[in-house]
Amino acid sequence: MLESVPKRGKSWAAETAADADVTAAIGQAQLGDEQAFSVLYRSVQPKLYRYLQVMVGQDAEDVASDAWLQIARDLRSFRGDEDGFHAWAATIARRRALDHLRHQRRRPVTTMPADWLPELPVGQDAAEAAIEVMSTDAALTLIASLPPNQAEAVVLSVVVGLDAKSAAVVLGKRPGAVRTAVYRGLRTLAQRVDKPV
Amino acid sequence: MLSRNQAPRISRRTAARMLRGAPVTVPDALAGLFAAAVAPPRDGELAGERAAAEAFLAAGHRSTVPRARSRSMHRRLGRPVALKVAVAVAAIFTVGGVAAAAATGHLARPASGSSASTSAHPAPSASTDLPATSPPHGSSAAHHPSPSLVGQCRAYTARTTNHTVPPDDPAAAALITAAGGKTNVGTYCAALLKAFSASAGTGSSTGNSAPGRSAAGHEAGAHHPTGPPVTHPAGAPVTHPAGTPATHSTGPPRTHPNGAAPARGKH
Repeated sequence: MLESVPKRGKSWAAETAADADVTAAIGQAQLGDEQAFSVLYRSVQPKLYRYLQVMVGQDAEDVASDAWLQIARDLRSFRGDEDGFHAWAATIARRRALDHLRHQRRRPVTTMPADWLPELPVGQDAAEAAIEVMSTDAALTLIASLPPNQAEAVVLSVVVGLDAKSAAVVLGKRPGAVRTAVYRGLRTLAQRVDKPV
Repeated sequence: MLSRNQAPRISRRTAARMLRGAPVTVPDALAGLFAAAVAPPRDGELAGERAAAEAFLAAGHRSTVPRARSRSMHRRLGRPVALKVAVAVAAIFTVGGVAAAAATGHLARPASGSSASTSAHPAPSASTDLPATSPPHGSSAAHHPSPSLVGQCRAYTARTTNHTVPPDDPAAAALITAAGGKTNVGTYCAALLKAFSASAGTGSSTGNSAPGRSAAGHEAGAHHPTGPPVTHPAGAPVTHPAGTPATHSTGPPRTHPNGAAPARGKH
């Protein structure tokens, strides 16, 4: 059975009315409107947090705080719409994450063992159970278990909601390379989810 | 249609469509993973909002904010209502100051009832009716009500389900000072917002104004005005075995000397 998936990265966003105004909020926040900045934060932060969770594991909160300091500081210099803002914010978050990793001298860690995919019944109902059971943490952990370049490409496209071109800018790669990384990552994920053991 | 015993495949084309933002059809298993990955915000994910807002204000936006906001507030509410709000806010701020002293625990329920303003509470203050007067307690400078604090409280109360104030977060200092102590922030904000919405009659922030569980139950004096059990509006059906995303005391923010424009991260 196949399932249609809503537009990437928009699941919760579509539920909040405020999110419709993100592009407007960018302009208002640049003029100093604190509430508009709050709209931006709530729209972007969950995505950044999850991206960072894939990159730096449990340090995501700290790195996100760093990223927001810079976002707040440099907001006036941003030009673009909502999608562009997501890419811009992701770029900042990525730089903070790489700084962090350099300081920590370690590569991505996950908040739990990579084989933590609990109690998924094996067999016929595994897929349905996965839909109901899988937590955000589990999903991110699975993504983080991919090779780093694939993991980043997948989380940027699925969670942050960037298209190949934007993700390529964030990652400093060519769009074709991003497409390939996403494709390989998703293929691996599909296999792993299907056979959780 | 895929057989379920067959390993699901995802085509290059599907991946490409997804990257274009087009709706895609993927195997069940991946649909579940995607849904989980973009599920509504979890506990703690928005916990840094106040710190971010403080950074926003500190980044030089502060000068334009109060005027713009107060002007728009006047437009929305009209002067009489705005004045009432100011009175109510002043009253609540007084209570907030008292809350620090009332560490013994019996904090009078501030702003109970519809008229949030005057006199129903045992605060040793005679000046609840004038917004300009300062509370009788020492650190009065920070007690001047400002839209910024109201906004902070609104964000604090409505957006975080975990009401622990980061202990060493400099960004929260103003709010903590205004509330009269770290452990009073939840109560303080609930009272402030209640007064705010009661006076304004907008009820804009009603639903989520219940103060959540606060720091580890050591908050003896926290008689929350509303007090219902915390329910998570996000309603995420999942548990978080990774746990403890909150209560994470972020240290003082590092500063990064590197330049502004986020060039492509080479590494």
